[in-house]
Amino acid sequence: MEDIDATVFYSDEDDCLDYGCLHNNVEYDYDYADTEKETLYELYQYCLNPSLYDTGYKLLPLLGCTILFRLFVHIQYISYKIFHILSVIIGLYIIHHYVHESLIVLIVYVLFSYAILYVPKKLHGGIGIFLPSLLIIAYCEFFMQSVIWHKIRSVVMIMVMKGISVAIDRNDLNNLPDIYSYMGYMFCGVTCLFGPWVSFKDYLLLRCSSNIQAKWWIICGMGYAFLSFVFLSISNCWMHWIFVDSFWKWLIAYRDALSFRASHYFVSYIGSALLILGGFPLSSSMIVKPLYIEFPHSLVQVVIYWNIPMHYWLKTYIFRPSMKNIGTFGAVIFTYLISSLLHGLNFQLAAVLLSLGFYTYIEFQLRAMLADTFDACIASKQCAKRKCIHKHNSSNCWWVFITNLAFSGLAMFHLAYLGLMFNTSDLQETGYNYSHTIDKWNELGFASHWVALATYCIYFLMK
Amino acid sequence: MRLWMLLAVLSVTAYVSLAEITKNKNRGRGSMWWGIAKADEPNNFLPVSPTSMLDSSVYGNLRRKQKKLIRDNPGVLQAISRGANQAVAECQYQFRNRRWNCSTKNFLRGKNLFGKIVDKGCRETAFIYAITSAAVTHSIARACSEGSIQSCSCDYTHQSRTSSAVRDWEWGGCSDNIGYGFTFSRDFVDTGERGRNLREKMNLHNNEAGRTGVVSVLLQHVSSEMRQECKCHGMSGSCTVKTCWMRLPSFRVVGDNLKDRFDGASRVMVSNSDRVRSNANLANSVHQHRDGLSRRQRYNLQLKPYNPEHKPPGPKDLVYLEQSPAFCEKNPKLGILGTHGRQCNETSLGVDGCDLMCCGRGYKTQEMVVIERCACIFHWCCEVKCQKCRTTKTVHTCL
Repeated sequence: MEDIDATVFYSDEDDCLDYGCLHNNVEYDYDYADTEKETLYELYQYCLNPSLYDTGYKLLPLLGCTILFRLFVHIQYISYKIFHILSVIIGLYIIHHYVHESLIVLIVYVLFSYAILYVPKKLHGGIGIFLPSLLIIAYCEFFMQSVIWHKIRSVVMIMVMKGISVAIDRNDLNNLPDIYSYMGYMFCGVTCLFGPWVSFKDYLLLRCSSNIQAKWWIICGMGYAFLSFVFLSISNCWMHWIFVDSFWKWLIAYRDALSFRASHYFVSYIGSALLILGGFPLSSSMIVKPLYIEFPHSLVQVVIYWNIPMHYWLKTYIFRPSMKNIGTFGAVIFTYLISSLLHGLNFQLAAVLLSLGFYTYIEFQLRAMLADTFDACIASKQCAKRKCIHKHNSSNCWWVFITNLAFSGLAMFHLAYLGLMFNTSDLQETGYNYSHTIDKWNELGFASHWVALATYCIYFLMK
Repeated sequence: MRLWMLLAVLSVTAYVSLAEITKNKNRGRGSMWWGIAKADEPNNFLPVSPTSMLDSSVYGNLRRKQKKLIRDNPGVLQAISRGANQAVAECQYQFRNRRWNCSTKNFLRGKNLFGKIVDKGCRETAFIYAITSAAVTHSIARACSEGSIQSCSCDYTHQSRTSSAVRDWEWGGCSDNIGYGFTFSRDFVDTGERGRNLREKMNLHNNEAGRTGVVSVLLQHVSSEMRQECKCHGMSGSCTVKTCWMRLPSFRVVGDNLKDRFDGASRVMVSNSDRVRSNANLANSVHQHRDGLSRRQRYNLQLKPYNPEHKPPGPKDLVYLEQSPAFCEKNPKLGILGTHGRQCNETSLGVDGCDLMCCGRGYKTQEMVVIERCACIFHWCCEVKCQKCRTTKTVHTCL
């Protein structure tokens, strides 16, 4: 702007044939591009303020219900039965308030899955415990509007995970939970909306715990809530403000993927905050570790720390039982299959999860082999500090450090590639379809899949 | 008796101002405030009064009502100045590829910022009036919501407005105060135009068209989901919670809009009934001489299309009175620089192409060293630093 006629006032007779005049015209062309960027104030006014205020306002009922739940946990006069009934009421209210479309489906599912618990194992041969879960997911996938299904998917997923975990635990222990505690667990208001999955045992222990953490819970809870809002602002506003659309395509891919991850951190930290405020112990409240994901040691680490309770669930109830029957590779793929089934029969999620399954398997094998060959700490799992069994580690050997750094870079590249399609397009409400996924990957030339294939070839040749 | 005296005095002043108008007939008085665009530039040539940021020549050219508006509403001057600069930049952007490129090089001591082209009632003039009026509306509306003008604030009336597409989300923030911007722009920008001769009517109409364009763009931005962006949050990409925010609409949208209107502007002429009415007004009411047309008449102008087969212009259309000059040759009388030495595009067939731009005079091609910004790096936080690179470019310039 300052260039417009900054120097002198030209008179009418002034000649404009000289170099300076021409030069001015050249410079104008580059000035226009600058006018578009939002100022910090505008960012605050149009993005930060509305999204934070709006989200906070929306989450208030959930927060209130969680505090109420905590009160019920602590009041000793409330009997066992009444407590679970109250828990169900709170849960039903929250589900009705936030995702009322799923209310009927969930009630039917809970009753049905409880009935299945009573059927002896001989009659269904162990598969039956998965039956209600499969049915509810199939019903939602095929008979529900895609917008609604996409909205309630996470709620159904949490519920299904809880149902399956109770059913499998019961198979081992052979003692049936009573209907009150079962319903209370399934509809527990603290976890039904944003998760995470908590075990039935943890839920029952709520009332027995002597609350040693009583002093710090409120600070921790507030801290988690604050962090979650920081991540919300990153996801909604900062990313799009820092990386403008005109940047290089891989930077845009990284931005979209990071924006998606920040959204996941937001949800996870909200879940953590609610767990603590709802009276769950601090030790079980950790859901996600953003630093381990943003600067990953390996893809395996990303998968573990993406959702710690879910990882635990998959490991305990799916991976370990199936490993006995179908071997490690089969178990890995089966676990990722179950995981994508839990996420609904969505092509994009299935593609991402299965890709992740193959990637982690390749990476794990390659790095394990390299670690063995060179006797160095470059396996997928980080060596424990004191008892590293390898001779070389990052602190005494520079090439170990470099190798680990390279693998980190590779993991970040894969993450940008896998996460970029969860963007703010119109499809985010209905779920992303087949062509969206392929289009997005095609833009980047399926680079990450080729890289993974190359990695596998290296592994195959070295084997 | 006293009444008569008063009327006599009034009629004399009216006569004087009428004379003033005929002297300045070609233009109308409404264009003087444009000089504010240069108000905040450091200026070594003219003495700057210490109390006001305006230099005296610009301030002196303002009308009394405009000075009063600025005095009564602290903060408004900066907004107008920002708006005027925005208008200049947008005008130059929109006309960058045309023979007339909205140059402000003829700027002389606060008078006629865009040069003497404004004396002609052509399309370009119509655009200038519309874009300046629109920019003032826009920047005042924004300044209100930013809190930099004391006499107005956010507009909260849009809060309860929800469209059916966004069921569970309401715009909870502070919206641009469109109403205030619109009224203020009418008061400030239209002060000089009384709507008595055809040229003033043209100016009034184009001012109003610019404002209407801004309002429709801003309203669209507030109430429809076009400019609203949402993001889903939930476990593993589901949509349990949806948060929404606004994407800032830029003045570019308004500029594009007005450029379209410029291309479809309608030529108008004096209608007979109009002339009769204004004569009757002259004869009947002294009071109306002072203020020109009353507010309802002012903005309800019946302008007749020059070509009787065309439709009469609507409130959003730009109107003009005479054909534009060719802008090919230098014409000091009209403040036209001509297209000598202008850059042109060798391959284009449009107005920016060398054939049309140079009016058939031909062009020369030369290699030029251009200093560009390059290797821009984002520094935390929050600035972008660039290096300056010298690159050689092939430039075609009109002879």
